[in-house]
Amino acid sequence: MNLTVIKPGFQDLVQDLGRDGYTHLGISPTGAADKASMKIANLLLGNNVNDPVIEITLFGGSYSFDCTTTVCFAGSHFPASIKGKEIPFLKPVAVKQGDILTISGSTSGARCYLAIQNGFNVAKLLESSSTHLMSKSGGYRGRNLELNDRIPFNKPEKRQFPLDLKFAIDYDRSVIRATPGLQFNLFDKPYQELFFGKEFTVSHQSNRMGIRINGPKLQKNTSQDIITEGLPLGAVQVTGNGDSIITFVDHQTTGGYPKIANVIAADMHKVGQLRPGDSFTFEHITMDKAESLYQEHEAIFKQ
Amino acid sequence: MDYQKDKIKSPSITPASDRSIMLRFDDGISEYIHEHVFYFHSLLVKKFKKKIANTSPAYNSILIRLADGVSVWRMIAKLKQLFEEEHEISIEQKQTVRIPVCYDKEFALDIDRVSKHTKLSTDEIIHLHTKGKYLVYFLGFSPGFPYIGGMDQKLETPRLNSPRIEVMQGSVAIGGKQTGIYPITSPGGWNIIGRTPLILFDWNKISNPILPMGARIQFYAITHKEFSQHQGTLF
Repeated sequence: MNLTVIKPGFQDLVQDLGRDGYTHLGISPTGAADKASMKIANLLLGNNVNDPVIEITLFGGSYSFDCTTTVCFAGSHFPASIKGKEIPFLKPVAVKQGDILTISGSTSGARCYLAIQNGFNVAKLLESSSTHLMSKSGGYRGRNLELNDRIPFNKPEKRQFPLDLKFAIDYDRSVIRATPGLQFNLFDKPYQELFFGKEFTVSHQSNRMGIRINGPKLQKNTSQDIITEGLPLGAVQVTGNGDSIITFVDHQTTGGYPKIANVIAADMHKVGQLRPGDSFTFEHITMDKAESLYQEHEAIFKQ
Repeated sequence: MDYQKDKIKSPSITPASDRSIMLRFDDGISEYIHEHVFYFHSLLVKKFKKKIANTSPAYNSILIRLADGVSVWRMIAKLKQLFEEEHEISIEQKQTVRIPVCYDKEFALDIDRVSKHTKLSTDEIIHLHTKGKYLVYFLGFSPGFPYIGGMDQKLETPRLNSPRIEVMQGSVAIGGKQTGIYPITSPGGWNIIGRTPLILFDWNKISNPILPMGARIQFYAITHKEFSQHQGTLF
């Protein structure tokens, strides 16, 4: 049973929740950029939350199915259709053998997720099906899907889909909440205030490793470099030029730039939906508040 | 090497984000601190297996990323408790791994740049680089990339102004005060001074890396002919 790529999208990737347990070997955790949407797409099909999906970025392509099954979309809205009939998001959709699914450009954020009953079935690398582009590893041949690629999916069985699930996820990308970063105090108060006050705009030079954001130039109060150390997901690193980069899912495991702030876990899905040109501000949140927001966020998926 | 209990340093323990904790032992890079990182990293991974999603040991720190549902504050309390107990740092000394490097111009894309900056001849660069006894402090950046300490500071050369999009697998390089090897082809901004024909990273041998944290290494120069003979050999 395969999905065949008739026309590839901008960046179609096989992803799951990521490859934990190997950062001490320099291996990135990777995984879906918006894990909340990925989980929702799976849960609506009655799948395991970690079943492999296809992550579609900015615009999709055309894909055919050689077997009847059920799929579900979640995330930002991308108009999608089968035989000219628009298909809904956040609902299981039956596809028949020979159907061609066409997905166009996003009308809102950067990504949507195509889940399939029982998941796509690519060889696992270190227990995960996620693609890591920089090391060309995992997922489907360690790369974006290309013309004529055939992505196997698992056999569907007759199943009652859960119809009463509702997920209260905030997708507002105009405010992203963050805690002070490991080197917050290497920035003097005026720079801290600029960071938590001024607007940032997402640069075109962003990818799954890092989201480059243009905004106020920030300068640390010492000429000394920091000693290379582990990078937390969502850390906002400030380069020597004073530019900010949000450490993202495919990040290198260690880095030597100071980290002024860290996006809270409960808002990381918003980062996965940022598009080049989007503007937003950072809101300062205490660690305690961030932790309770994280717990609330996780509870959404445990119904 | 064993240290007296009173000489063991306890790290500062702080939240790095709402899902991660930073343990920092000291403010500098030394083999003494490295042994702390090495020892406590193994201990933490063993003791808190289910609470930790993954870890990044580095020169003088350990970043712990928490497993789903584990609270930062509760974990910090547990870690503080652990460091109140008595510890004896013991580290098994590893054998020195000898790595062949071809310093030929074909591979040494930036050796002239290093030469210009350090005012050393190519031969002097090779001599100093192969003379050193190095320690792999940790792996980071990209799969299997060793952060190697012990380079003769006469070889110090600033990184390239703009990084290369692709540095070939096996490239041996100098970045500031450090030397390193690119185990897989990846982007990189260090000065390339040679290449090893050996494959130093293998996805199938993850549990037993060729250059693990704590490994001692030494480089030796080989000719272009020897490079061709060894090319693609698994270490």
